Amino acid sequence: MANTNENSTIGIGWYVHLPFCRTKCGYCDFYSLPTVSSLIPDLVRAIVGEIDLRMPNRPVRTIFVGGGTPTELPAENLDELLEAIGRMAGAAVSEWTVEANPSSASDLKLDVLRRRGVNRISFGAQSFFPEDLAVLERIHDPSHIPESIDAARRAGFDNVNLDLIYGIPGQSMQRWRESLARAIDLGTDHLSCYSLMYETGTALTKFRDQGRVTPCDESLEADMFEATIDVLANAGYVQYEISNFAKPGRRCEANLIYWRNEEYLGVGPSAVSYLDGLRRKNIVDVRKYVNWMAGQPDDLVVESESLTPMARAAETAIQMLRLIEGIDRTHFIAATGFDPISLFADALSETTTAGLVEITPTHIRLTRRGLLLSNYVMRAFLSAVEDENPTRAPTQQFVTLQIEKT
Amino acid sequence: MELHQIRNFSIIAHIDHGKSTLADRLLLTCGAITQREFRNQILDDMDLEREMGITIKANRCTLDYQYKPAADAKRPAKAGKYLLNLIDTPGHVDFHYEVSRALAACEGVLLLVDAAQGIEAQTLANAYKAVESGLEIIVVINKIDLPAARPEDVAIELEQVLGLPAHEAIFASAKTGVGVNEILAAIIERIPAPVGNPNGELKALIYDAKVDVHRGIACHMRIIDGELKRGDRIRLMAAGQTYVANDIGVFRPKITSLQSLKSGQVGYLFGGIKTIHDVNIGDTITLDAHPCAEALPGYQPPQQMVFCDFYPGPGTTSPELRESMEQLWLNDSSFNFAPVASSALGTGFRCGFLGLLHMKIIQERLERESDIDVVQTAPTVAFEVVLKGGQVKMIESPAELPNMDKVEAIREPYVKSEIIVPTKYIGAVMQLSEERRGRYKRTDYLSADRVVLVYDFPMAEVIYDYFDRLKSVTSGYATMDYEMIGFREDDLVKLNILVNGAPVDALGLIVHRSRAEYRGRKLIARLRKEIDRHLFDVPIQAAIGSRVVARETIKALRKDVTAKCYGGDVSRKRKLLEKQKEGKKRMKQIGSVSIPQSAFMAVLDSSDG
Repeated sequence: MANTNENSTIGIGWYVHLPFCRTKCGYCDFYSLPTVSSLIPDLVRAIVGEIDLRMPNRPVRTIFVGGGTPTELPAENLDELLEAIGRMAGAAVSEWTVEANPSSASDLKLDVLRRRGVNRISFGAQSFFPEDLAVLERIHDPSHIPESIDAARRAGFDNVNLDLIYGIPGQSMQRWRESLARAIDLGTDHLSCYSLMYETGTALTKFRDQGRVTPCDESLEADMFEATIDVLANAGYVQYEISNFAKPGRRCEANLIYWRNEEYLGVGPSAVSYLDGLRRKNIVDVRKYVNWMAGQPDDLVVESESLTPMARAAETAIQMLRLIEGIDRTHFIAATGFDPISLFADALSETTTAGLVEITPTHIRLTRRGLLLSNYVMRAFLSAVEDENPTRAPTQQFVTLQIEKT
Repeated sequence: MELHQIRNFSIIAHIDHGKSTLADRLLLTCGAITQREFRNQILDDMDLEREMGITIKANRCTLDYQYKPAADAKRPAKAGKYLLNLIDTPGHVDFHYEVSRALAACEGVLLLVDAAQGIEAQTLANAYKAVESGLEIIVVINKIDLPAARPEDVAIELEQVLGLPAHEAIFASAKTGVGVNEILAAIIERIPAPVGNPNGELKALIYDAKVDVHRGIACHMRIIDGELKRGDRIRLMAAGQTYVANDIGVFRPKITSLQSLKSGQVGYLFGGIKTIHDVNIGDTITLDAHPCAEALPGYQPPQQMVFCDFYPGPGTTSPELRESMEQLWLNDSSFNFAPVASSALGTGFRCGFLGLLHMKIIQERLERESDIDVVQTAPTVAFEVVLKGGQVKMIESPAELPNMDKVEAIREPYVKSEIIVPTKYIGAVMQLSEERRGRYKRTDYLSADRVVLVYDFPMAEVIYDYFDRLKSVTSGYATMDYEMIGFREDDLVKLNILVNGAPVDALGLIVHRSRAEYRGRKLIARLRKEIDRHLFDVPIQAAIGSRVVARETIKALRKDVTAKCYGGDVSRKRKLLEKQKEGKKRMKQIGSVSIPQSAFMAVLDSSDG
């Protein structure tokens, strides 16, 4: 293996984006559109072709197939795609997740997933109450959730995630606690609990702006967040990121790659990659995407950004702050060349005084209050790197630290 | 050219009654401009004037007119060539003093009134000035080509209110040219020729001064006695400075050099004068070698009535603002400024203006001519503070108010205002005027359906929101003019605005005690909307001394989290946070509270929103 740094885990992540959904949910701002059956064979071919073209010569540690709703693909197309992905990714893959909708995961498809090596499944459950699902414009019925989990277990999945949403207009604390309790009762291995976000351009945001939907009170939302942390801790789940909770050994490795600002390859329409310090985004429109092979490889890219060492350090810091363990100082120095204690000195002074951040011998992490106000903390950290101060040249600092170590 | 062949006159009118068009029409008829050049408002040479539809700086033109009395002329003058000096005047209430200056160089005026609109507030205000100056007034009812024109009624209104004989009014249309020859004949027949001694010592009145980009300062003057020749060494009597008259001449309307200017003539003088502040408007020009015995009475310098601070806006530095203001000040002697420092807004300038419109115009000219951003605080008036012991101190900003222990009384400026309004709005205007502490004086009827309401107002109320409210309660039909009548003592208090216990100096006010709570509530309600939530509760209070009259609290922020952030979101998220951070950086710190500059602006915006 090329990378022998003991502080980073070996291998990169792959992300595959499948944009099709049965219907578009009102709150969702991912690129998705209603399934166009005629495009599916071309889409599978284009994705496989893209992986073949772009896959770096590095081991693949995790695969995440998301969307959209990957399980909207007919079983045979799904099979063809997963077979190709598994073949190209090789044997180092330790975690392979596919996202599914509780109403779209048939036994047949679950068997396809298992057969091709998928070992983790993530259901967009969101809520166990029809009133909440209606506000979110989800197509499934609460009864689909336990059915899907049963089916997944039968198919052999021992690592099941549910996505849940709180802060839904009209949702009470009682109802949220009830959703959490149901998820716990189902023996879910991992829970992603998000407060509802009003993303630009979504139908839900429009409704809010028109006054047709009244957002959840901020104070209630904060209470729900805190209740989530406590309830899940009592049920044996460990919070390891702002919105993510796992039974021991069940953290999502694919997502940890993002939060540590490590490298990943993203394929499919609108997918983002981060490789060799370059962040790039694929062409969004699925019709244009499926034709990419007829043109030039560069036609795939719509945005690309090469980060300066300072910007990369800042980004790494705000991503790592999302983790409950926080910024691993040694890991951060290895990844960016900067010592976070000196780079973010002013921000640390401000945020520790305010009780939002604490510094341990090995880590810099958010306090409970800091979790609720993490954007505030992150802005403070970004302020630290706004001017590219030449005395903070990363390589020099890196060398110095190396010398100190020896 | 003999004195009896000269006529000096101005046109006075309410805004939009067609003054500039009439001026153009006179120029066209006398051959000063060609038909091609005859375009609207040729005399208004600033963009802003054209846009706002008003004349700010007085303009001027010398016209030749070949006069032949009409067969039925009642007071025929001698036929022949005449020299007509048109001295244009600004129309707006803020520029009374410029009107007065222009009128002092004239023997008569054309009082121009819109045949459809009738008398408006500035028609009266300007006419009074002409009467006070003892000028001949020729009534011209303009726009008789309009379908709604009712020239006879308007002429009768003028006779009733101002005593100007209706049968002498000239019905005209500057737009079509109807009545223009009649107007020119009336100028010659009715306006007296200037009086002066052509053989006396030189005595010339400076009635205006203007910056010529290439040539320095042009004095606009009226020769009263004697003769000024090119190359003469002249003396400005009040300033005591001497200059050489390098170039003299008249406006036709472009500057046209002459060898000499004689008694009765109106023209310009370039003498290597560097800035407009070297010239005192109203000063007397005489010859250095043969000075006249006594200077002309001159003018009172303009009185700044409205004050506010200008601060550099985003992207503009304080030195840039200063330079731009100095540049403009060279052009306009009617505003003043001095450096001021505010903990909320940084380093800026305390400025004095003739009125609200004047303030607006100066701000716009600064931004436009120098390409800078100007942040402007709420306008206030000057107060007279009577200290214990009887000493009287003038203050131009609430921050200058001494400790109240030392203050015996505060006096505020009052204006006399005339509001012209259709009778159906009398009730609404009276109610509004009561609310704004107006003191009713009387009602004059212009006609069966229009009245002049005369009120005395505290000027502070007028500049706060009275104008806007007046327009609103009368559906835009009311017009108003006012003039300063002096200072009056009242129960005035200082209202402090405190954010998290710290006073915000830029938001302090001097208000009447009865209005303190209302103003305070309004102000803090606005401020509350503009300040982001902090990590702690932020109380906002309005207080008189230690007594809080209004209070709001911005509750502490509990949750500011981005719930979801995966691979595709990272750079978007960073950019979003950076944008928010930039916004925070531009904020001002009041104690531990960050307040965006936009908050001050929103709060200081004097409109009643």
